[in-house]
Amino acid sequence: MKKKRLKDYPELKRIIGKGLLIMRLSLILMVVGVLQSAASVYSQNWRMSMNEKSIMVKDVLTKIEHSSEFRFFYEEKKVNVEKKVDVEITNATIDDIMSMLFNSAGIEYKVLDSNFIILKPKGDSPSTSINSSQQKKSITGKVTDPSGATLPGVSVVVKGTTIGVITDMDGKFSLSNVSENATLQFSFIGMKTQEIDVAGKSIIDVVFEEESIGLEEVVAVGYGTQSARKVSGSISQVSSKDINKINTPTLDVALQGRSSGMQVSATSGEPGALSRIRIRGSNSFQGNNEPLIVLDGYPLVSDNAPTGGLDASSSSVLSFINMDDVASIEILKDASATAIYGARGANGVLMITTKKGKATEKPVINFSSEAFASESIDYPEMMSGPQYVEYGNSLPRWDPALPTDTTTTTWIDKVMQRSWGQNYNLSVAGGSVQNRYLVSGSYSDYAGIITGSGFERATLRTNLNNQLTEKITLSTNINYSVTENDRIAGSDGSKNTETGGGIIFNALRNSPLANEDQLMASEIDPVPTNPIYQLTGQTDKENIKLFLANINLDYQIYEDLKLTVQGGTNSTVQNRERYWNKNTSPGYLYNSQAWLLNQQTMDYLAELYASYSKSIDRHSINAVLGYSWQKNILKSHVNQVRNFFSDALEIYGLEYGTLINPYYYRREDRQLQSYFFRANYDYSSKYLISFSGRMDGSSVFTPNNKYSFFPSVSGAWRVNEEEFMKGIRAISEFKLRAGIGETGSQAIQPYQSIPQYGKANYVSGNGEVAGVRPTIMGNPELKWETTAQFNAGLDLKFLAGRIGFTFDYYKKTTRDLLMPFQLPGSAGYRTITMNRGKLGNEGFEITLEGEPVKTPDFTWRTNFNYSRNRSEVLDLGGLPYIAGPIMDSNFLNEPISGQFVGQPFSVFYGYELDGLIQPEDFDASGKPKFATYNGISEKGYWKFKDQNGDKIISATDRVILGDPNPDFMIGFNNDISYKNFTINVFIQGVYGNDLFNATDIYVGTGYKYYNNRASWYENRWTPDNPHNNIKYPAGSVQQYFKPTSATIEDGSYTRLKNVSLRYNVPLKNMKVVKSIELYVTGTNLLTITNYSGLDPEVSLFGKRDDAIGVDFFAYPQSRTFTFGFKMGL
Amino acid sequence: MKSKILKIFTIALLLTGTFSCSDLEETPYSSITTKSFFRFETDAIATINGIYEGLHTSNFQSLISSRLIVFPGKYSLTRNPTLKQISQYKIDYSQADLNTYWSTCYDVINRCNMAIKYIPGIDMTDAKKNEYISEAKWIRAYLYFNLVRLYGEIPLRINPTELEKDAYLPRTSISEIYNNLIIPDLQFAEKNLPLIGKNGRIGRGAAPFLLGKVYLTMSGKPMQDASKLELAKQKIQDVITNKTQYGYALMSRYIDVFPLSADRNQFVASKELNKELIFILQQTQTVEGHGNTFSFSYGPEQSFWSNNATGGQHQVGFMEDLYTLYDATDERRNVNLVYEYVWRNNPTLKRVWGKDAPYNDKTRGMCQNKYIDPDQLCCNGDPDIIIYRLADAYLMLAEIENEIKGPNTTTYDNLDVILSRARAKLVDRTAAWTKETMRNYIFNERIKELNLEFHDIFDLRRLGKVKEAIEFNLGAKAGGTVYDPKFEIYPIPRVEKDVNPLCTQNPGW
Repeated sequence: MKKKRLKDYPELKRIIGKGLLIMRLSLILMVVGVLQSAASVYSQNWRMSMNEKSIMVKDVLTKIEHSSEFRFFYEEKKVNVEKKVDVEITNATIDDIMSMLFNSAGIEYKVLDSNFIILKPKGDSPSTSINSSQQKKSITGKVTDPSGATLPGVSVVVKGTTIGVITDMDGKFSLSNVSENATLQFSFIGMKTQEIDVAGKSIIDVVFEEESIGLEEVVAVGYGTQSARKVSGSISQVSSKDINKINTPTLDVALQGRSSGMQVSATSGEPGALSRIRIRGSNSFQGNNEPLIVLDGYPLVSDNAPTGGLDASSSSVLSFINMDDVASIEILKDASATAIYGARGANGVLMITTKKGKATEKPVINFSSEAFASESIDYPEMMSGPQYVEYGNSLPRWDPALPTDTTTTTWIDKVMQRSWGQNYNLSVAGGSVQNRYLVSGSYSDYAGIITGSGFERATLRTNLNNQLTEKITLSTNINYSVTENDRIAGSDGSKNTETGGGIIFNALRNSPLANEDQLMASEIDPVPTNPIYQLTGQTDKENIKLFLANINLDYQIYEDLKLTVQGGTNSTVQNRERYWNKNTSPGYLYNSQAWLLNQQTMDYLAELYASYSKSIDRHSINAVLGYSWQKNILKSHVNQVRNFFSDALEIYGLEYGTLINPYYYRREDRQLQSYFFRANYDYSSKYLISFSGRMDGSSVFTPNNKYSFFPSVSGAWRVNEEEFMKGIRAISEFKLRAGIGETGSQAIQPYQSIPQYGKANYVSGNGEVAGVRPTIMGNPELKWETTAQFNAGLDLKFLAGRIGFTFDYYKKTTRDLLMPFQLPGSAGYRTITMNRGKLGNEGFEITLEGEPVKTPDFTWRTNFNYSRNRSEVLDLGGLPYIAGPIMDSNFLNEPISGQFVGQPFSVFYGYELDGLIQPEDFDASGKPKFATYNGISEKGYWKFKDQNGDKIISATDRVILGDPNPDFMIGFNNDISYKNFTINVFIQGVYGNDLFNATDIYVGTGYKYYNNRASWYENRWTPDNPHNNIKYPAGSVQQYFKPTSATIEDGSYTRLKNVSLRYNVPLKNMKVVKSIELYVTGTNLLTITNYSGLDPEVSLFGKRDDAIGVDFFAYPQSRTFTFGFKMGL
Repeated sequence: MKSKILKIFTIALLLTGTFSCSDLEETPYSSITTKSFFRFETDAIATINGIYEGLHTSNFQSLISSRLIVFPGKYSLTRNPTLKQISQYKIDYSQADLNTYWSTCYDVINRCNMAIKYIPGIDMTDAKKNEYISEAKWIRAYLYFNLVRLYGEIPLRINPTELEKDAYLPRTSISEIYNNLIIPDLQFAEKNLPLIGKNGRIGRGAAPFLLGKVYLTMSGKPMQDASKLELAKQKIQDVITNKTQYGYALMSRYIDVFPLSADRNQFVASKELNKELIFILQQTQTVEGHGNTFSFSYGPEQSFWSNNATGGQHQVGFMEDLYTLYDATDERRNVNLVYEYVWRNNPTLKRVWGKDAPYNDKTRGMCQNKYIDPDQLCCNGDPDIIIYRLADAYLMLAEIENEIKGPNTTTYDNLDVILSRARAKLVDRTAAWTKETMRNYIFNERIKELNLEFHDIFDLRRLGKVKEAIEFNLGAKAGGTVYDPKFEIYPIPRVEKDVNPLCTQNPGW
């Protein structure tokens, strides 16, 4: 008997191609849905016309299958489908056709609600097979999916025989004549094949599990989906199940360590803060290195930082997405995967697909609720009051000696809190096959661990899928999010007179002798430094509303040709209100200060593409050709007002401030117009080849350079399909891949090619007069930055997919780097944006996943990924080096990093120390034998190395001090299930990177007028404690404020990122409630590191790439414990 | 089949034709471009205002300029590490302020070049055009004059930089800078500037004044062209003789030159009243970044010099020797230096300089008292920065007379104008003056009068007193600085040297 299994239907590919089903999980549930409901309506409404002479019945059935949801099941021996018939029908129903074909042949048919049509000789009982002479035992049973829904259409076969049935619409089956010692094999697409020994049982109920490493995985690629088997590029997939286990408001944090080749690092522990995402290293010195984010087919513009004013950009675009809505995330890494996004593909692409409704009889309602508590990972211990006094009085001072009777104020305790939060999600999904819906809403409230900071978000999402006609499908995604972020000025580490230093900075450096209510809590600073006043005296509310809607109309013109029209808009409205009253340093200096930003972005997208898919014999072709247009308009309105007579109204009394500057309203446009294509060909699923490319035109370049073409080609060989591999059953997948291609980046602000003049007002007489000065020289030769990438990979799967191994090697070269190129000072301009420079990245990635233990009660699933990237600056357009940003223009006013030819990306740069000044460093006359810095020759101080031997310590003595790029990174995820319990343990680590501990420059090297770390005090150089450890120099009245080797530390860490324990409450005999899950999660539980600062995973300069790994009083990450509850109805 | 082809054809059309409507042209909505600029007289005015703007920001003028010009002086001291390196000559070409000063000057020169190139194309009378251009030319000459004195041979840029390939220029000799640019520019300004500058802007008298200063400088080191003395005399004499016509007059008291009321607690806002000023950079608290930082950065700690808790920062000071250089009656002493002041945190206490006082660190020096703004918040104060004023003309004339003829009545008379206004002892006409002793006497008078007004290093260099200053200065002595001939000129800054392949370095650096 030939079994017809659903899996064998080539039509599935078509369904997938329709874009209805993006991932495996949806696919299964969709099929379940199809089987469960609405079929009768469908079978009544469905019509077909056909006019064929002398056609085999088999072919008629195939045609019906191609153009409908119907699937036929029959035994070839019993139903003669080879018979030729003449068919001439118009608008016939399925009943009409069936009657016509079979009534005379003694075959009866039954249309199940699932649209499965079972054909059998009259009198045969359905779902039963009698094909064995041995009559031993009858077995019945029911097959369900994990949620308890019955699964029709499951193939049940007696192993080693051809005896088998498929389950009926209730998921039931019945087999007779089964040998007592036989094994039943249950298989269903997308589910793990199960084998169950009969062992005398007569009732066998089976609960299917979703396949962990299925063969039929489908991944989202640009403008379509593809079977994972046929992918020849480098794509990783992260499932929603994994990211949902982490408690964080933003999706980017949850992605950390989940995929090889992707580095996600938090820039701050502030809720909702930006993360830095790098896929296979950074490509550009000063451009945007963030991957392109494509949400349900809509490319999001991520770098809309306002063009001026205080640090206005704050929130990640990913912070608007409710994590519960996400179905899967694909990470497109190599050129062959990203070239279809052309000029925006160089940094990789994150394709986020949200959940869709499924056709179900009843609406599926899911509700979850969780509460959590957070606390800071660590606090540094500072000098106590008595230590501070002892130290302060030990060095010469201008002011009276410090009082000795004192208690200690531990400032950090006063500003940090244990915070609470809550999270609610509700989603309702369902619909018929033709009209499916998913509506979800969420509310999250994250209080920060710095008192007063917090992040609130509400989201609403509607996804609709409508089969308008037989050939036209409409998908609609509407997302509305509101975030309200209570920020803490300067908690991102900034220290300048505008913000008076961050909260953590002030909490650490303030005198422990000052009282909590003392405004000037620092001994030296002329401005209020009391962090408690700073918290209560400032407001910084950022409210962002994001609306994203896109519709997608699919027109299946022919069986093999589909046309898709996509249109959408993404608009954000951002309102940021900042106010500092007179008790804060900016308010004190300017007699209160307000800063208001209103910014809106409007983004429009229109796309049209055709997809073609055809299989002839063993050849199959799949192609996409399309056009895309996207326009982005940014308007920002900034108002800074100072000098308020009263703080009573705060920012809502803006008109009472008398000094207004700056005040502006600006608009910036950019436009992108593109043509793209992709063509995949495979022979027998064995040899795969793919071409893709995009012709991109951008408004930011001059007319001659607006367009560029980004091509790629890749191929794969599925060795396991070869004859010589057929015998090796252990290897279920063996694929070799290679690809090469180019992608681009338009990583510059608009208008850089046009000479421009800007405001330069002067104060003449007693008033301000309008002035204009040249601001941008303009470079008429600007063009794209281009990244060429080669990728080679290997995919291996063993034991029917239980163990999977993926290896990828890549090499990238980015040329024509867009950067502000240094001009000689005599040019009159500091820089000009040019295409100069070359940067290389090379690395490899390994992913290992599998199910080492698998028994009915106990399973262990694990995923380990390893990534290694090496960067090298190849050319800087003739310059010897490019300096990074200045951290603190008042004090630490030298760049701490730079780009050097032949060195890794953004290395630390500064003065090398030669130990501490020792008594033997002086000659007989007491003159120092070393070159002094600023004439400082006191013993116990830093001894700077005079690199060029000119006896002067100056900027030319700076050398490369360290490399902030990690040697490698790992992610290690484990799910261990025992009966109804599941434990998830996720470990993430970064190794071999250096950090610049700028915090220690201020509070860890003994500057007398700041408090210092207790460990410095206890170990510092004194005549009684002489040593040569540069970490603990003698105390000083002067600060060094120099980037030196003393503040470079190893930043490697291993972090127990997440541990969760879940309990699925067994729900037998519950009609309404389908599932209840209870869970406890701990996030950031343990960090193993030698780093002496608060948190090794921080960066002062946020997403900037020219100064990574700088820790400067950052908002630390929190340790979070979550208690949650999920219920499905 | 036909219909299939038709459909596919339609799709192809849709894909390629209908949708490709965008030309991707860029419209800068919020910046001015050449297309929309240099069309009206108001554009010319805005361009000239932009030139002044480039010079007057607090960071550039009060900090950077004073670091390079004032603090390698004879009496200057500092505790600021960066300043210490400069004042003790412990720098190399990578010193950051060298580059900031250099590139800021060229930035403004570029603005001047822009004005000089494009204003002639604007539709207005030639007289008007020349008036605006002469303002740009005077400032361009002033900047080149400073650059050539600080760095020696420098790139001579007379056109705006408009393409990257134009950004690299070789250095031009010192005499060409003077003869081909500074002198012709000032001669043009002399003819075309408005007689009296409005709203604190330069008037016609500024041209002969600066031209006189240029000739005097050319007669000194390094050019030592004595033939320029006569020309210098003519020009300065012109300024003094025609001062009323040019709108200049000496203030009756020294203290009135600096815009504070007599009790020094209130800022006098009216800039029009102070007729002694020839060239100033106007400052204000009311516009961000447009104020003078001296009161805060160079003011005494715990004083009321600025409106915050710790008063000033006392980053720099002057040796007590400068204080004692003045006669007891000399009113300039207490205007320039602070001897005692009320302590902010404890108003019953005074901080007094000198023996047994709580505040007498000799290496920090006495604080300046010239730039005070009691309600200054931090870095932005109201007092205008004075670059040139009429008193300098009298001192220069005395010096020129002495150089030409030796000490004589004209020399004494011109000095006495300044000394009598300061209530100081007049020149002892009976003393046995030689040209040499008189030169030193005038040099000291210049320091007493023009202290912290951006003359120090220029005077030291043209008079050949760099070595003398290093050997006298407490800070340089403490740092063990030994005079080196290369100290007569600063190195070309690193960014210029490294980025511009045509640029050479000064000997010794």
